[in-house]
Amino acid sequence: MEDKNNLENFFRDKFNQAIEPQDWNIPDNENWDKISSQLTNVEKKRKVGVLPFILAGLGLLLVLALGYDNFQKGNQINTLADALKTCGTHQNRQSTSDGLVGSNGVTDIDNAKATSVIAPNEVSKNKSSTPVRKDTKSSSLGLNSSAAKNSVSTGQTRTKTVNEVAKNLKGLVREIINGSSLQTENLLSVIVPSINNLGEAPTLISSGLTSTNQTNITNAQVIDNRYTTKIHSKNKTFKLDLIPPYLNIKPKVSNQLWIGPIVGYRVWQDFEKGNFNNPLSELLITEDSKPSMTFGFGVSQNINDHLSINSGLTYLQRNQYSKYEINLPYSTTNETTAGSEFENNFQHSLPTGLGNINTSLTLSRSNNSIVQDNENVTLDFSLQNTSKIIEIPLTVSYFVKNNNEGFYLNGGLANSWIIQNKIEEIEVVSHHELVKNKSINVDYNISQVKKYNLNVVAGCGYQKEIFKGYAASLSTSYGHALLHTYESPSYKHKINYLGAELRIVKIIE
Amino acid sequence: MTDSKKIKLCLEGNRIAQRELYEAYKVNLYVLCQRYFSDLEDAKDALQEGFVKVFRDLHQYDENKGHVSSWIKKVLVNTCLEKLRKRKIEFQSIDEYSMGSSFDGDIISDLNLKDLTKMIQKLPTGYRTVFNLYVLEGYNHQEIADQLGISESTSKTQLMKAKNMLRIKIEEVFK
Repeated sequence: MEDKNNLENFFRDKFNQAIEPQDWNIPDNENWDKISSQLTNVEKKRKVGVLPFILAGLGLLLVLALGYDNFQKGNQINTLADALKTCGTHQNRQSTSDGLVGSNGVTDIDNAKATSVIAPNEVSKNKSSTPVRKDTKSSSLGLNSSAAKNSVSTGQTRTKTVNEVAKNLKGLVREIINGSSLQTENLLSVIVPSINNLGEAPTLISSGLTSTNQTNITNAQVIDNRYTTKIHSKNKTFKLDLIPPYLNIKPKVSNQLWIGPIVGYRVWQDFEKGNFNNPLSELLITEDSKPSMTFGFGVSQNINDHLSINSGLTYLQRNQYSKYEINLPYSTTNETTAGSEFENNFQHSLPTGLGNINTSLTLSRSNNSIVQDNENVTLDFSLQNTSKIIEIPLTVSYFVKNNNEGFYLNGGLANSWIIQNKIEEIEVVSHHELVKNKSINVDYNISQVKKYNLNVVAGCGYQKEIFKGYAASLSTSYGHALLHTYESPSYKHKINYLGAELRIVKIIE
Repeated sequence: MTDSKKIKLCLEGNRIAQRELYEAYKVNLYVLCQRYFSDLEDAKDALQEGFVKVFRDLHQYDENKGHVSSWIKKVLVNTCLEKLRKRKIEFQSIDEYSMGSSFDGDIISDLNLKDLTKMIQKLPTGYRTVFNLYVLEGYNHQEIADQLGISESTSKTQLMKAKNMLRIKIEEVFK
């Protein structure tokens, strides 16, 4: 046991002794440079911050809200169909000899229901022997939907007819919502009786309609952006909404141009690969781009009910900040005299995300101050790289619903050009009590800044007509840079973004 | 500059303070890394990775729980173990090496730290790791077992074998 402890204690004692660095081939500055470079990357990753996640979260919430909205509308359609079935069954029991049913208690409207009349020579085969109705308008309206055809089939029961109408109505409403082509006449022949069966009160243009069976229904037409028809009676005419307003189904759009202003907000993500090929890279503490506002206008042309092609012009200013900490030895032997001061000049080539920049720095002290030769002067030094950018996007939007409204997905390319670039110092602070910074000049080769960039853009948004002829669109998008803003054999820098945009558009037919 | 102030500056990302901290501890920690790796490049990599972790996780350091040097040392040891785990440490069986003779501390007092480090480096990885952790880092066998995912008895066996091998190596030096 003692032997064992001897060995252990011997090693412990030896390794607790002071270590002579010269014996150990200690890693040189290169090792620190690597650590510093990795730390810079870690810090930049941290600096991306929570804002992109907040924006992404808001985008997700928007999508979920729209999904819920769609789900609700789906439920409304189901409710509509169920109600139709109920009314149909009820109607079978309550049918009167003239075939007109007071389902909503509004006599004038009931009287005007000329779309269905009794076919007296047709005998119902169902148990209740309810007379079968025949849609007298079906031929004149070019009726060819299965529902309508069913409604005129000889020997079919009323219950079956109404159920099938309900089934087909559900399909029709879905078709309208999904934007498939639909003949107006079919819509009219199926939906007019259905709406009345539902108990929906149509919009009356005039009241006081007298009871009559002499009615005539005109073909459906678009009035106030809704499928509407007019029912002409003997004395009066009234207007009927073919689709319940809460379904908010609008007629198809075609050949619309949208144009309007855009305002946006962008968060930049600096992505870097490799290391600066610059011996002073360790002086760079942080480098990041601050969020930017964007302004411009957009133009969109709809290709069909679902697709639109978008372009425009956006202006933005991206500010990239580089912060350095510089430790300089102030030489009292090589200083120059400038009036009542002594000066030291320093030239550096400092790395930035857009290439190296040359700085010429002058430190000064009053000629009666006491400073040791080569005394360290620590400086905090910040640069701002301002890029004024024009962007021309070319994207395609896909609207999930028809009519180019509601939720949409957006994708395409964004071309951007730096129209003006400027690198300037924004702050130099000396931490030395006696030696202060006097002046600094920043110089760089403007040609090292790549003027053109190309981003792949993908995102989603929601567009809605806010008042007649004007719509608002809120969207979020991610722009992935395809080109590097700066590139050297050992270092690559590109800037992606996450943005939100609000646009107001005027709809031009 | 006090350690507290230096740490505060390091936390703010002050590269000068970070470098000062690195310079203050790099020698001892490089020697520590060399004890775990027979290859100097591996030791250098471990030192580099360890210091990146030190600065990345410095906010986790609690002044009340000990000196920063102990915390940094622990981070470096964990970094070395992590690197070794990735390579799957091989634990030699007990029969592979013969038992050495008794140890006479007086004879070897002239051996310097570098010689001893070289001897440790020549140990098989499993022996070396357990020896470092038990003898020089002060871990107990339960802690070593948890760290390396081995049983306590394996840890004890590896330590015993490591010590026997070291005895043999020391004897060879003085033959």
